Amino acid sequence: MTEEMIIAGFGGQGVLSMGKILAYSGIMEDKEVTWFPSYGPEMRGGTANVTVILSDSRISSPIVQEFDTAIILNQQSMDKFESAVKPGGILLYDPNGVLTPPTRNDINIFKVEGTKTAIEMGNPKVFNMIVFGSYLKVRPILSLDNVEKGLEKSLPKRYHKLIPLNLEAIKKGRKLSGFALTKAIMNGEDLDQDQLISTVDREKNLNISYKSKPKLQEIDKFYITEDPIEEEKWSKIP
Amino acid sequence: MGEIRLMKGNEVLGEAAIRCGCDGYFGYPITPQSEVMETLMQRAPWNETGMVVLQAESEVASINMVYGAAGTGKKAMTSSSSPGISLMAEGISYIAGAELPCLIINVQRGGPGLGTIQPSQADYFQAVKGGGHGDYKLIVLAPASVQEMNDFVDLAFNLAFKYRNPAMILTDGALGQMMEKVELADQKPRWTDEEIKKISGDWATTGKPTSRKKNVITSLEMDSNVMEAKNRRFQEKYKLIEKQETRYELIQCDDAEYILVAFGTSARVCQKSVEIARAKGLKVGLLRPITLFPFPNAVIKELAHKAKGFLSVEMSAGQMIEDIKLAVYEAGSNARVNYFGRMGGIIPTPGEVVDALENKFYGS
Amino acid sequence: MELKDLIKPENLVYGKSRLLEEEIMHYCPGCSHGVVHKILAELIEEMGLQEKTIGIAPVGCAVFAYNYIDIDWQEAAHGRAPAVATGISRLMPDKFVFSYQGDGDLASIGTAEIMHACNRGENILVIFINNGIYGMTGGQMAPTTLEGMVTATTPTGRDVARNGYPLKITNLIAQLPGTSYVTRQAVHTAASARKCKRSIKKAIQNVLDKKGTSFVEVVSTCSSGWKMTPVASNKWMEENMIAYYPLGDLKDSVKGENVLEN
Ligand SMILES: Cc1ncc(C[n+]2csc(CCOP(=O)(O)OP(=O)(O)O)c2C)c(N)n1
Ligand code: SF4
Repeated sequence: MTEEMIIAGFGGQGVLSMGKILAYSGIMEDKEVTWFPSYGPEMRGGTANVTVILSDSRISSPIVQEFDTAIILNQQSMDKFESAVKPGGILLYDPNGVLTPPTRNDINIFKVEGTKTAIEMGNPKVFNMIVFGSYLKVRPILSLDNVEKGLEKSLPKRYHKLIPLNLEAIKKGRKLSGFALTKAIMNGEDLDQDQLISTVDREKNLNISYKSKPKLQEIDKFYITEDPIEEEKWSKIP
Repeated sequence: MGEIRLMKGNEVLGEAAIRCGCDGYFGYPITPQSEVMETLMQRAPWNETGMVVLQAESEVASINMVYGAAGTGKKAMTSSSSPGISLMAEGISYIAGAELPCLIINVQRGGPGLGTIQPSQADYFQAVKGGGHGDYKLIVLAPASVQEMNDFVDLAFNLAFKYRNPAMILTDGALGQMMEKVELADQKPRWTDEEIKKISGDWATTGKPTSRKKNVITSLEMDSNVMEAKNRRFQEKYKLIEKQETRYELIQCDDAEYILVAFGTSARVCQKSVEIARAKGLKVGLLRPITLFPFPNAVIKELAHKAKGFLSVEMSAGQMIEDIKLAVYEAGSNARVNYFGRMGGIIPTPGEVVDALENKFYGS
Repeated sequence: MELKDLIKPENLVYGKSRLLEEEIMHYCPGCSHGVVHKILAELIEEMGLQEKTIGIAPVGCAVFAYNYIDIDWQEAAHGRAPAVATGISRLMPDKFVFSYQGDGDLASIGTAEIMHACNRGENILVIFINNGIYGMTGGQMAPTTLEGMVTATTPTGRDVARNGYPLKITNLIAQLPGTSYVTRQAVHTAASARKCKRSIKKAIQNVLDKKGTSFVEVVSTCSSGWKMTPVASNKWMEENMIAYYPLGDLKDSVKGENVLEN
């Protein structure tokens, strides 16, 4: 297994720390990891991005041209990285910072209402953890135990009291099955809610081929729905 | 197994220095390596091992502090990035001339001048051919992963003391800023005075007891004949280092028609280029020099009889290629030697390298 | 009345100096660098010096000063601005040459250069931005960092036993016979900025009158490096920085005064 991904947004959105938690969780899973940030005197409010690579074998290039996954948190990053996702790869984005939704039809696009859900949770800051949770749902490569350990390792001790809140946000993110809805749209199908959920259950690996061009204009209609996959199952994911 | 952590290359350099029993670090902030000193200050090793960490007023001061500290037979080091290393050039030449073991780390950024803070490998010539004045060589190690950043700190000190010669870790901003999984070494104690006496008692300026003649550390010699003899001895030493300490890694070179040569960050990129090329059915391998001085001439000479060509992949305008050409020439081989690289802080992509390979060698 | 009727020369209350370029400054909100740039641009314009002026930009946050003021500039290596200024001013003695330096640049890596330029009495203006920290490289200790102040390289606060004392380099410079006017100012309030402008104007006049080195320290904020809001930075600066680096003229030899005794 090798997962090459990019996380991109504004500086201050927790882009780098999301990558760090992911990398640390990867170590807990006994994987090789590389975390490679854009660095420099980024202007305030400028964009920040980090490449994270998790692999079962020695990692080669930190410079990645085509990503398996892109997590996008603002428009600038969408403009820059939408085209850099591998065909068949994954793009997750929070619509809050993205005015022009992605248009590619050869990748799996998941809209995650991270900011909205975080505000509902009463803590806008954890929106990145919600998006992170959704990512873990669509790419089930890390177990909850190891993510928890990753959080512990990557947060300084004085922030450890925030771990439960972060975990809650991650779990919340996992329940956003907005992805299944988007997928259905991409397939050009008009599925009802029950069918969608069963799609989620069946689809562990996400190499989907598309029957017709997605009707992207419809995406905005869909918001978060609760996903019934029980949490216990998660800890069993390898 | 040692402690496993996720760390930045720069942080690891600081941590590894403490753990290998380094006695003193002197430095001046410069991007992209400031985390080395910041990590040390955070760790406050003076409480734990007694290691001294000092922020100097400039790189000129840092390297001269290292000169002094190294003269006492202790493990002294500094780190900087390209412009700061230029500023140290005089001091480094003095250290080489006085044969002091020490560690200098260059986390390169793009030049010339103030340039950019993004990664580069354009200080290759400066590191392996001199940089300062006079006929001297540094032992130059080029890590390609955060793990090697860790391992090479101890290795560099060992080599420096073995040959009484300054050693350099030549890395770049990408490896400095990158975090990877790293297995840290266990804490080694700093050398005791007794140990220092045994290791460097015949030259270190530790205060003259009546039992020995005085130790003088200098690079000055007014008698040209003596100075020439000293230079000859240095050259002998460098030859010995070439013979004994050359290190490199070969990846899929056994059946390779064409061989990429790259170190550090660009070697990481090339590892992937090899995968891509092989998937296309091209017989391509990678030679990764780990020591830049001594340069792995011998293996290139050997490969030059098997392979049709070499592609030097560098984050510079083509510096290492000169050494490859020299080796191929010495081998009397007709193998072609080409260059591909990016400059100014840009890292080549794996695909670009494969394209260059195809353009230059496969005529497509 | 429409907006276009309002925008007329006779209604103009305030205009930015013609010499300030149409560039978005890269400085953080609340940074003193921007205010000092504005003052310099205004004075060079008001005193009709654009053609005569050569500025030396340092290495530090002000490295891009040359993007912001429409005059000739040279960018110097870290700390070497006074040496570069010396070279220019010696070869073109009738020009107005100034160096613009931070505390790391001037009081750490470039201490030798500034001391000797001032001691030779080079006919230049030195603007010294003292924000007590290395802004550009991400907030490490500067020689002027106050005792106990937390920076990236003094994570538990500056400890004088380890790092020495905060350097009042301006006081040392005032001792040098080559300097004619040495002053310490600030720009954190409208009043202090006006006062600072008067001081810089006097310093420029000194250079034009060939009276030797004029040296203007501006006690400044660095909200990013200090990790405070701009407002909190101003307050902290007043209570701590200015307490240690009191404002006022240290030397005005034109008037024959050595004003402050601190
Ligand atoms: C020879 C050399 N060493 C180090 C640096 C890195 N460096 C750039 S700016 C700076 C310090 C800037 O601090 P200061 O002069 O106080 O200016 P400020 O950024 O606070 O305005 C340093 C150490 C460099 N560019 N060149
Ligand atoms: S880092 Fe500090 S000195 Fe630099 S621009 Fe920001 S506030 Fe100003």
